[in-house]
Amino acid sequence: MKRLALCLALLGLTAATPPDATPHLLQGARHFREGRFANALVEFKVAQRLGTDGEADWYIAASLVKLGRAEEALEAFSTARKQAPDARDALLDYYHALACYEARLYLCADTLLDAVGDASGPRIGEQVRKLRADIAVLFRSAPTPGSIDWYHARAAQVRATGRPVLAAHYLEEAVGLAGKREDRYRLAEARAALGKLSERPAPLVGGASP
Amino acid sequence: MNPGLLVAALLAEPGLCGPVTPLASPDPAAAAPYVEVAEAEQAAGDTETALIAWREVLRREPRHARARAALKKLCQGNTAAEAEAEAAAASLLSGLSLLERGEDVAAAAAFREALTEQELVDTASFFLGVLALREGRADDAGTFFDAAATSSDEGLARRAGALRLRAAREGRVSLTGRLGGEYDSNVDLAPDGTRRQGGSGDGVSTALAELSVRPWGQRGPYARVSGNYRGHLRFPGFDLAGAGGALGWAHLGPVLQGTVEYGLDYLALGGTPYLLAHRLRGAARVPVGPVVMEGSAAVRREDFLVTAFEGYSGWRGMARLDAEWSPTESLTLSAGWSGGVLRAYDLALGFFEHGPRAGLSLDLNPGLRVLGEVGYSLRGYQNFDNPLGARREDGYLDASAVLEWDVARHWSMQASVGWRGASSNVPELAYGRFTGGLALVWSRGLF
Repeated sequence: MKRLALCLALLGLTAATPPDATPHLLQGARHFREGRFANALVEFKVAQRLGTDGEADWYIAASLVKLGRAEEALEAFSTARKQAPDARDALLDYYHALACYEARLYLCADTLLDAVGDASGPRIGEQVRKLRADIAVLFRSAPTPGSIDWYHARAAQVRATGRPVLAAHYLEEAVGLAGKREDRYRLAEARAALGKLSERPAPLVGGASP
Repeated sequence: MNPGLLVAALLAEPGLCGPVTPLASPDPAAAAPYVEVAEAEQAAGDTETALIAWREVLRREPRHARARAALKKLCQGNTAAEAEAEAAAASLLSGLSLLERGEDVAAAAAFREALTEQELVDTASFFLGVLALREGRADDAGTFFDAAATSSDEGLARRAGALRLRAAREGRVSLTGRLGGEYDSNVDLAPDGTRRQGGSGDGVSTALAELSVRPWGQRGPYARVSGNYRGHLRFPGFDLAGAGGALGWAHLGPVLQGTVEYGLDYLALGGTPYLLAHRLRGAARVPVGPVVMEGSAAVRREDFLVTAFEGYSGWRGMARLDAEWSPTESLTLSAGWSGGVLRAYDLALGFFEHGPRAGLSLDLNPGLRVLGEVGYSLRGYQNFDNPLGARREDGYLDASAVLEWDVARHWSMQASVGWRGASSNVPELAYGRFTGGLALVWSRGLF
């Protein structure tokens, strides 16, 4: 159902895309709907190169989620939010939340899931509630210093490989987690590291919705 | 996921290194963006996406030299890994076939080979766990089920979770304890289950301990000893204390499963020796099409040690045949017929009874299940009873339900209710009996 919704959303969007990109978006959507996510990714990337005003970035990101490449998906979602903020919808936010969840960015996931709610239909709504319940269980107690350390370490790793957006994601999570502790463990350090990054992800919520 | 389908899917994967079918007319311009994508994906180390993109290049421009070279390079690198994956998938298929034929040792070897392929670790671990459980290696089984329980296949993970619990509670040596309390609306009893019409409600406490030894696991010889106690609040004269043991042999074939068992039971009633019984029982299960047929027969020699009940001493025989059907993974329905006969010293007490029964077992959630059974039995006494002035004909309607909840690895709670409605051509022998209670059960595999 969600694949079909993506396909329908895609059909609605392609009217504004250059003619050369349209067949690739449609072919990508077909592959996506039929579960061939690697093929879908290729077609969406070709469409992106032919120019789609940023719409293809959303579908590239969704395909990456389906392929289990959560960190790449997060970067793609960030690009999409900057390039085509009007193209986002609740279903794409749900995929974005899944990418956050898979990358252990639970606060990021929860923020997006809260915004999605039931907006993408009852079935997704049920999944949203289930995921949010899982996340709520995680945060029943204050995060441990060890878990916050992990986000700092991961941020340092991805920053060293030239992925500032991803590093920012991990540091923002570290900031959020530190805020859940009375001692604000490594909060100032996380904020300082964020300030030094050359690029930050687009805000998760608050963008235009079609 | 059905492991057979999983393996079939893996073997049926046409592969990204097979022949490329070109489009009707070459289109080098259309190939260009695919080249960019292919190079970017290859540089990023994503072989699968790069292969797909290079193949799209070749479909549009079959003579594209870089695409041909890249495909050749990527596919050469893939060949060894694909061969290993195919060998592992074949091992899994072979293991399933051997398992179905009951060749457990060879099946285990094949499943171990399949463990080399990451994609098959959960499925292979599941079946290695099943084999370990059969052999009574509960610790090994638990380790394998732990691995399978992390599977992304929800069905496999759920089944592995359930069997992991079973592995924790079974083993070559296992111990079970049960403590409970219940309300019994009619505790007056005679050896044939006859109760007083007015009923005598009482609270009952129950306790049971059982030690089971299975040196070769679920196959081969086994032994069991147990002790139990049933104490009444108002009628301590009906307190029952029992001890018993059994020796048996279990057959676990690819199709037929069966057991034969000899047992000895002793009961004391109100602190006085009451009953000594020898019993012999055989049972078998065999799948027939979509159902599983299960039959059992037992004979029991009963000697009552209380003068008042000596007349009940004699031979008791029981037989039962059921058909089980599982329309879904969580639901099992059964229906069958059961019968019994008593040949007692007091000829007026001997009877023959039989009737239908039906049951269900429903898994509500992992670790929460309900079991229900209802049956009716028509009992005809075989001789005229002079004191009663009649040849008795009774009918018994029995219904029971048990809710079981696995609260922890070794602990479960049981809530049960039961009803027996007895009718008779001797009106004063008709009665009703309700029971309902709670019990806490602890089970652990010790070795």
